[in-house]
Amino acid sequence: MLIFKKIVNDVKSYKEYILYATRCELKIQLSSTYLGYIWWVLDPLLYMLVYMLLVMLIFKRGEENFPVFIFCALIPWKWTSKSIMDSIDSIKGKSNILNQIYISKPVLPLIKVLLNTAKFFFGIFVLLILIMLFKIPYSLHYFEFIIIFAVQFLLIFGLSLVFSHLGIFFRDIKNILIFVIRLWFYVSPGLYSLERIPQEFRFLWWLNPMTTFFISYRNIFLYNKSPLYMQLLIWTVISILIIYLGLRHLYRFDKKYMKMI
Amino acid sequence: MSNLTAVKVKNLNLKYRFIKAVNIKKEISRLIFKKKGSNKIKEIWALKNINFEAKKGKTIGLIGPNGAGKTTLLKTISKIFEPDSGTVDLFSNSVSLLTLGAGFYPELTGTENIYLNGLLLGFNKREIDKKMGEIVSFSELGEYIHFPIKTYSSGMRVRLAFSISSHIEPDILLIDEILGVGDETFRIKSQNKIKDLIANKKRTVFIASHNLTSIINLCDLVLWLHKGEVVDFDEPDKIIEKYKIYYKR
Repeated sequence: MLIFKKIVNDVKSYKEYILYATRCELKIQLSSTYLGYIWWVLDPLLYMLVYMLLVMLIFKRGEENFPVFIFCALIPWKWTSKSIMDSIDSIKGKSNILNQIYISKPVLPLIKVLLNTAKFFFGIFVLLILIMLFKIPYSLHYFEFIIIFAVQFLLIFGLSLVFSHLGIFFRDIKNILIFVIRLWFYVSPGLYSLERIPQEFRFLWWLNPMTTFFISYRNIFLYNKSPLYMQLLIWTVISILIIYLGLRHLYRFDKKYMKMI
Repeated sequence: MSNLTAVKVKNLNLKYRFIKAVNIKKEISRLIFKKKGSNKIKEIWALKNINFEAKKGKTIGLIGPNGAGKTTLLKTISKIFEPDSGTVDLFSNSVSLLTLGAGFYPELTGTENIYLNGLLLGFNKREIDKKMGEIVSFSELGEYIHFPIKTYSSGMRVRLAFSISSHIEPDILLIDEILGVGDETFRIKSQNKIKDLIANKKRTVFIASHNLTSIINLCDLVLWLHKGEVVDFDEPDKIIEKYKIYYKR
């Protein structure tokens, strides 16, 4: 419990820095391309087109409203994978500043997560436009978005904490992770619905948090249904455990990292 | 002048542990062939049994050859490092290390970097707004302050870095090798600024430097370090004399 108190205090005292740094990093990313903001729209849309081509044209498959179906999975997926990849360098990449000023370490992966959260909201906005274009009826279930969002945020934050710690010790982790993350997407029901998996193997898919999130987002945006509350509750508990684990490591090594980097 | 203690260092020991990053290739070959690899952890004691006490308002010089532990000691006092054993007690709220490193984001403008640095150093945005004018005019960057740092010359970067860190005004100020930066005019200006910072009777200052003349001029006491150990802690004249003889200068 002490650890959670500590992170709350840290977030409070670094609040202004966290917000300003997030804004600045967003600005850096925007200024490094000509199209800026437009890439945030273009990136998921282009991915969507690639998968549409693959599934609809080549495999001649695809669910109803397939573009929206994929988009509901792509946006939360990008949020997860980018946050994890970014967090690997979040402490290591700041060694210049950390050598001069003390910063509480969990703050750094948190900035990366917030940065990607901003993009995630942008993606959800695009999703709503897509829904309008495809004339999918609106529903009050949209308000349940906030719950799915909160649970996924906890999970991403937890994973980012863990990987920011691992990123310092294992140099090869980035290469391994690129592969693992790709695999992870294909074993998540992003391009297909869970019904396509044979009943006897389906329990394996439930071990993957993305199954719960993808189906929950689709339920509220596409099928006029509630999210999977039971599964979300389980992942909340697991996420909090991961956050605890990550924070414990980051705080234990808080002042030791700089002697190692 | 008060006789209150500002910094108290007791039995301070600190070691660097160089952990060789785990190499998957070697790990796998070690697993398969059960080879005994070289010891993964290399330890170096950077500070050995340091004891001293600094009174409030004093200026303390740190001298010693390269690798003596001056910077390490400053970083320990500024809480970047944690001692492996022993204690560092600070009897004051704010402590800040004044170095000219590369703690800048090159893609951001000077102003944005001032905010980021200032926020990290414990100011809130309103306080930085107040100091902004002062910092910008001291740095003499003019309209360049609105350009990204990557367009700056190295001299301009140094001027900005010095301007930010010298306007922080903490209770305990730690200075690492920056007596004199930039071109001739800015060098004199920055030295005067440091003298101003030191002159404040409430402020405790630590200066690590190789410049013995400025140490004599600025400091009340000198701490002589050699290979992580304190050789002597006394008044500047006495120590510098011994120091010069010791290193045959």
